Amino acid sequence: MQIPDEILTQTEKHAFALRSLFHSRGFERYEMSRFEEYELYSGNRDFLPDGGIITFTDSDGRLLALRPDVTLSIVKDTRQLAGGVRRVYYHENVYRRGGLSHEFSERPQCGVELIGSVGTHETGDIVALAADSLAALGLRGIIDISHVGFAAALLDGFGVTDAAKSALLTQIAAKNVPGLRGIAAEIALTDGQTDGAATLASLYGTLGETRGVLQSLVANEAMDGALGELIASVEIAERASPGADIRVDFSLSQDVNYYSGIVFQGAAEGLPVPVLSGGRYDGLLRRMGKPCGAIGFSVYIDELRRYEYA
Amino acid sequence: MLDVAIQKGRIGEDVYAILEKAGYGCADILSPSRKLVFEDEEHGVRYFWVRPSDVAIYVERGAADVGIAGSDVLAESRPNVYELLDLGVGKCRICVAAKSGFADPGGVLRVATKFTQIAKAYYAKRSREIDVIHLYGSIELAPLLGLSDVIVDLVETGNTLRENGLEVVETISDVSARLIANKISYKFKHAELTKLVSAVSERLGDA
Repeated sequence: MQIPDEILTQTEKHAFALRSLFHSRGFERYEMSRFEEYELYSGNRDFLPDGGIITFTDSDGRLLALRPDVTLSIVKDTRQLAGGVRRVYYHENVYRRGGLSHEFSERPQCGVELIGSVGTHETGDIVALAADSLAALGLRGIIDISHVGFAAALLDGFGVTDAAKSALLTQIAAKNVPGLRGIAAEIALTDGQTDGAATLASLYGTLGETRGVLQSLVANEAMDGALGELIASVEIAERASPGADIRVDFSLSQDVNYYSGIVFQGAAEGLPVPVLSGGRYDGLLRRMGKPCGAIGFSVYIDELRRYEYA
Repeated sequence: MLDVAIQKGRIGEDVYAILEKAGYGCADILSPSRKLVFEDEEHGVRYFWVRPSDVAIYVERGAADVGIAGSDVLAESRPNVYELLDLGVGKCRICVAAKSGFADPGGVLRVATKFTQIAKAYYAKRSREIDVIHLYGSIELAPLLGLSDVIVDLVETGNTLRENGLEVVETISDVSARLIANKISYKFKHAELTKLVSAVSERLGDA
């Protein structure tokens, strides 16, 4: 069967380009049903984006939901892995409130999950694959990367309340240095602590540009460990994908409940919102009784509709 | 080229004066005309005049790389943008005000305001149930006519309140103009944006 190119929509072409890439890297297609039991989501609310879930009652009385997310279904379906890794990719629609209009819509996502024995190498490879995905879509892209544990350990070292930490993280996420200094004054941080948090908020650049500053911020063992992981992952990713433009940016690390290590986001020039996001989520597996590692990312292919190819 | 959304009116003009001193001037921008877009290739900048409450929308959706918006608007609409500088102009306060000598009756408090999110968040923090009455203007009228118990509104000098027999009960937060940036522009135009931010913050130091 030959399919003429002109009958494919832009979104379909994008999806097929990604599926070809993922397949060529040894990932297997994962297909799933559109519906899941609501319980899967209600028990993992902090893993899901804000904004609710579309539910309905099946003929047998079970409460079902239109899938707001793909990763939870894949994790649920993953058996205990003895030392190995499971590599899957998906191309599915999800139903969630989102985008800039905050309304429910059906959104196609194409992504990968790597579950099992995940170390720095696997992490670096997935970050490289994220960069390659943007390239495969013909985008001039940037991958921004962060480590949730680094910012969290910096704030833990301040010995302040959870509410204060969360307020500081909000300012870091907005790169709002004046706002951050205001909060620091209210909760009586020292000048050194305030400057450290402000440096983290405004930091942006390649690993080469930011490495020295990051090392100077290290104040405890947890920060040292997190930074080591971040540096090693970026180095592996840069070797695996030599054209990749990877920048360190701590304004990403907001979702501390769910992500447990490296997090990253992909942006394309000319599109106002990120087109890719992912990270390590070992915590979710632990909570679902599967003590192993996991990392993945998803590409929001519908966001590319407005991309103007040169 | 940086696209800058700037609010129409006096605060926008004050902000433009800072940008001009920082090396981001644009010929003709202050000339009386109905033009909305002003470009200056030499300084690498293009300005749009927009409504104050629209600045954050232009920036969040990437129609402008940077913008200058009041912290009141940002607190109310919570756009997903970077907030890089406090420009220290357009200063005022968001306050709770009521008729002079107002005694809180307890129970559900009726609050008239344009800033419904700010009002809800403020009273939620104090575990106080409120009935929010969303108005678009002449907020001061509401308590005078018995439409509301209090108002949540911007207060600059307090003259409008006084002339209407109202007074400030509490201050919710201080307000000033902020330099905001689209999160993706920040990455792709990082060098240009960093230069703008540092040039502007040097000018603020002068003032």
